[in-house]
Amino acid sequence: MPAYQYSQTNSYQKEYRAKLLIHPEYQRLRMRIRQYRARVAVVLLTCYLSFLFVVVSFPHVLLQPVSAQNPTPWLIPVAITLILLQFLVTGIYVKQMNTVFDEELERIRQEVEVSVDG
Amino acid sequence: MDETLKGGTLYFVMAVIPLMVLLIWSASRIRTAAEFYAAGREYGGLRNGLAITGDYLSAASLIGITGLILMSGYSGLLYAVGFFSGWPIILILLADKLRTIGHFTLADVLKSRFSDSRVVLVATLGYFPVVVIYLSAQLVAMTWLLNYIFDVGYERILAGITVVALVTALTGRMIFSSRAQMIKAGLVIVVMLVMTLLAYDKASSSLSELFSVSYWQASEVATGVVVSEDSPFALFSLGVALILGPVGLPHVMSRFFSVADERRARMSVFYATGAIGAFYILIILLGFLTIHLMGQPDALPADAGNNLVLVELAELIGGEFLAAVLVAILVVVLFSVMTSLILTGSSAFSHDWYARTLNIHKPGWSERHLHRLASSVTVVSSACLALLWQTENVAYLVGLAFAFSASVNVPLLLGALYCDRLTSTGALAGGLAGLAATVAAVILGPLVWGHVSVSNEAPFPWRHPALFSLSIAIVVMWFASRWSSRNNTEGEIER
Repeated sequence: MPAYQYSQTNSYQKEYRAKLLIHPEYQRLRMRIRQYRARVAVVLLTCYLSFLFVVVSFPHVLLQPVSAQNPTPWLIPVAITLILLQFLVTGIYVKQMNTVFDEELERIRQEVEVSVDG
Repeated sequence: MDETLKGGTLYFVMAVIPLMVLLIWSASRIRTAAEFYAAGREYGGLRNGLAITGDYLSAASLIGITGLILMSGYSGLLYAVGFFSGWPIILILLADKLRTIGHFTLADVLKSRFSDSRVVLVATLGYFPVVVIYLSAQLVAMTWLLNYIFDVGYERILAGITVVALVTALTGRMIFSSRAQMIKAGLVIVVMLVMTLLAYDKASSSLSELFSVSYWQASEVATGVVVSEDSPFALFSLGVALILGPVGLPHVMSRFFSVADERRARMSVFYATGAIGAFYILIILLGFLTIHLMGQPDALPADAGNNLVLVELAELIGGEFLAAVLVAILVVVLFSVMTSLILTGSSAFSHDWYARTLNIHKPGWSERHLHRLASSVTVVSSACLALLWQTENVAYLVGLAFAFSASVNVPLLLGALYCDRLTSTGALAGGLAGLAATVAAVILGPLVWGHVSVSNEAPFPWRHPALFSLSIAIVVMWFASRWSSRNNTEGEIER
């Protein structure tokens, strides 16, 4: 937990929040985070829903064998790839949020904190 | 037959006792939801992630999905992928949002967003069928497993388990700690791994050869009767329920809410995604190995609702010893899921709604009594459903619980977080409409009507109602919000 949430009085917190919320960089960052999140959500949902759509509407498509030598139906590699892909996207998202965005957020917070103190 | 049974029983008892002791020893005695939330804040991302995995990977879905893949390669696979795909979505849609706001339960979120506390009651009511049906799936699974060992009849074993569950509910003891959940997750994944390796060894053929056999059988089943049992719309509806459902599981979400900060919440979902993904990939492989080794489904006893396929497979590849050990592990895991479900489910009612929302300050006893009442009602209703649905596949029952959560609690939660124009009236009406629609669809559908009535024609044809009831909930929410003006006192949820 960042210290500012507990160490200060209520009025300080109010002022701090008010300053943070109107801080232009903070607003821009929040917008970027929102867009990034929306993009990732769209990617994930597209993957899953298109798989679902194919499975439901054209059940025979994914039962085609991979090749003449290897008669494994496409269904199995596709399903496993889908799971791995989603895991990968989750990893990228978490990394981006936990490093890039969190650091910027922390920097802006400290900036605002300093300006309230001063 | 008697001889083999005795050997199996002996192995079972020898395996189940140390496992039970391990699990009970590892669990700290947490009695209330408040203690549980407090404990959760100490854990880091990896630990919490594994604990979430332990909560989510119910043995019911494990034995259910393997059965489904054998019966109909296709929809079994759909379950495996769907159960997994909910996780990343939860992370994106909810993790950051909820952590920034700093609420810990669905009730907290709804309370701060809507002025009308009845919205919280609707969400609590929405939890009830989710918990009851999810619990009934665990009961069906546990009963079949124990019946496999002791063979004294489904009803008698169900009655025995119900008594144990009632005692658990009334004394409030539970096997519920992050350590116990981690052990559980480890047990399930190790069992899966061992089974897959042994089955692969038994199949002793190259992967391509293996899948070539399963290909023909899978395609035979998948293109025949089994796929056409559910219409494309019903299957799509199932797919929607599967990704939205986890959001409404109280025992999973409460653990997820209880981490200390956003970073750790994200990391724990990330680790949970990895472990759960590995688990479902193993299930897919194991399922198709099962097709290869066990061939056509008619060789199996039909009355168990394909719930014993995994155990039959264990007996085939490792004799009764492996089967008994597998059953022992699964029963212990099921038991622990059962206790945590009973606790979190009924505390949603007694703690989140009664004590915190109504703000009734009678020190202690009334909340505790209500909690006991709620958990007893939960157990008894689940037992009745488990009796009615003894021939249903348990993964399907879990999917049904997800349908309820996807049509009541998910629209409420997402609406509260993302839709500014949603009013109290809208939330109230939409939540109730979603609940009523799902209940009606289940009762009029094949699942209740089909079992009870003489003619098998159910008025509502789909076995998976989520798409239907979710649409009703959203439409009602939208109209009711338009026709009611927004109350000024309602809280804003900051973005």
